[in-house]
Amino acid sequence: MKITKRIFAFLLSVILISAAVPAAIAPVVSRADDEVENAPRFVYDTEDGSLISESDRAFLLSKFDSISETYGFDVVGMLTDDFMAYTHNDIYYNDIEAFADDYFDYRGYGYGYNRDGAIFIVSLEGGYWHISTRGYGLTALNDDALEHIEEVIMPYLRSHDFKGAFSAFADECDDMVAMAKEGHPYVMPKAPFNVLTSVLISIAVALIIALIITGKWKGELKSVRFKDQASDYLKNGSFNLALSRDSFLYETVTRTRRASSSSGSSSSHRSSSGASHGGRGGRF
Amino acid sequence: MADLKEYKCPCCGAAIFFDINSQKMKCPYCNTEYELETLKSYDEDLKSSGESNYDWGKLSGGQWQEGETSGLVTYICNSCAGEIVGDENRAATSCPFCGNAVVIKHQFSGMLKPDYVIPFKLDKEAAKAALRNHYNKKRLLPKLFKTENHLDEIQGVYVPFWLFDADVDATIRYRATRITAWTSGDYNYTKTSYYSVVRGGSLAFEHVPADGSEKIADDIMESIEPFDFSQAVDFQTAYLAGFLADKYDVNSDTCVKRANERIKKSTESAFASTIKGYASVFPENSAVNVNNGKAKYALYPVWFLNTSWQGKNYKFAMNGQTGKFVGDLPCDNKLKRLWTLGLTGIITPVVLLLLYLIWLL
Repeated sequence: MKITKRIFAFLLSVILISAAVPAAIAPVVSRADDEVENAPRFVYDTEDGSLISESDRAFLLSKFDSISETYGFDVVGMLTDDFMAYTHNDIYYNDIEAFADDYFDYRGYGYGYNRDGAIFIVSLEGGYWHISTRGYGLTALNDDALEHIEEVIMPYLRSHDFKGAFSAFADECDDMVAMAKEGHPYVMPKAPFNVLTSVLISIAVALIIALIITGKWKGELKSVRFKDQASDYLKNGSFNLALSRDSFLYETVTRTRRASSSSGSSSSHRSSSGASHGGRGGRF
Repeated sequence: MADLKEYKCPCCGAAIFFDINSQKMKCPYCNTEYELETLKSYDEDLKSSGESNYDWGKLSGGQWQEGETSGLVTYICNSCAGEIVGDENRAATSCPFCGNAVVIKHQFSGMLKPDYVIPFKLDKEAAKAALRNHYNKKRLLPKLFKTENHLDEIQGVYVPFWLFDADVDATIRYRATRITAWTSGDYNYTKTSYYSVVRGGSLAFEHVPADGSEKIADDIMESIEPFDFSQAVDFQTAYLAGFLADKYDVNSDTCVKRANERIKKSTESAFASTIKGYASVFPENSAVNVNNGKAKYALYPVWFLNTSWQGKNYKFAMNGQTGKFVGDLPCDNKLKRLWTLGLTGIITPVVLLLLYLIWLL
């Protein structure tokens, strides 16, 4: 009897576990309201607990919290095994930009009416990373700032130093938001004036101009040439335009993608919730 | 079935068909669609285009009156066999064509009598002054050329020209494009619209000259154009006194080809100037018909100047009526290289400064 009970309990647990497995494989992006309220600013969602140690996770969380509260600007980090395992409305994600936007939107991140904030997501499978910005994030983390942040975090990501990457992201956000609040959002510093290249370009341009001038002078030495036209001998008043017909035949349309916008600006797109997001991402 | 008609695609030239879905004519190869009206008018454009025709009447000069040629002699150059005509009192010292000093006097033998002559308006001194002036403001002219080159000969020559009068009818079909560009979303769009443009009408040319002398370079003669025909007078032997005259040795039938070329080009550009509002205009077919063509034989006044420098001959010509002076001059290539280097040296800092200012912005 006891054995039967045990077998029954075992079978039941197998059924329960197997029923629970798909839910574990496919976590949904949107959560219940109470979870939204308390969504942590650092999410560690990987099976391998050793990528960032417990204490470092606590350190990162407190760092994100402290920066967010200082500026009223949510700074969020997330390390996940695979963003493609997540679903929204039963549809799996295949684009990390859409996932990052939705994770930020549906998990309730962002301060105030404009949902000011930024999220940095690293997805280990395939080596994806993405930063999504919303509200004031589009101002503070403009295109220039995101380009700079990419330069800073890429070395950490390439060496799989995830703690370093998230910590650096937090520090950069700290600086960028502070600068923006002072009224001077980050602008990519100008590349230094390259003297050698400039001199070479100047010589080449000057040589071409000089050749054009001396070529013109050489041309002045030549005055004998055929006259192709006889318009000097056109009888005055004899020109009579009797037929003049212009008919449209057909047209062709070509399109080319526009060059990306200039520095200091922020290019944005709409997420599935309809909110306007900025962002930058790639692979490592 | 007799009026079964095949239309060709104006875009790619393939046969095109009526497309039921779009209710338009459609090319199965390039997929371009056309309104029926468009093709109809284009077809008319094609029909109205044709070949060029040059219809010249009998081309001739007049005949000499008896006794009129008695004072004329012919000089023949021993070197180039150039034949020139002058009055018997004139001592031709050198050949105006090749500069050779030996010319032999012959009795004048027959040629057509010119219809018109434009008498010389400018004298030898004017030609010399024009030559000096011709050297001015030529930076790359070798410095020694001015001082060292030796003026071998100045000759006033009446050059034989055939003058062509003609009425021209022309129909010219052009392919023209209009380009509009706009931006939408992430893309720049460029729309190119193609048009069939037809221009037709008439115009007339008077006294289009063509050099009737084989020995005188046609490009030099065209370079000193234009001559003002309003000052031409009926030919009289007296005008030759003190000058030489070349006999024509290229007949009008040969010269008319060059006149036709120039008339055709001028006609095309005259009609092209009435086409406005397009980004590009290319002539596709030009039918130029020359009617009522007449040719006259005339002598035009030209000063020829021969100079030599460092063993090379330089030939100059001046329009004896208007004073227009031409002649190719030598180029001092060493000086040209020096100037190129010097100018590069001056311009480089300016460009560098500009680059720096652009970087500062």
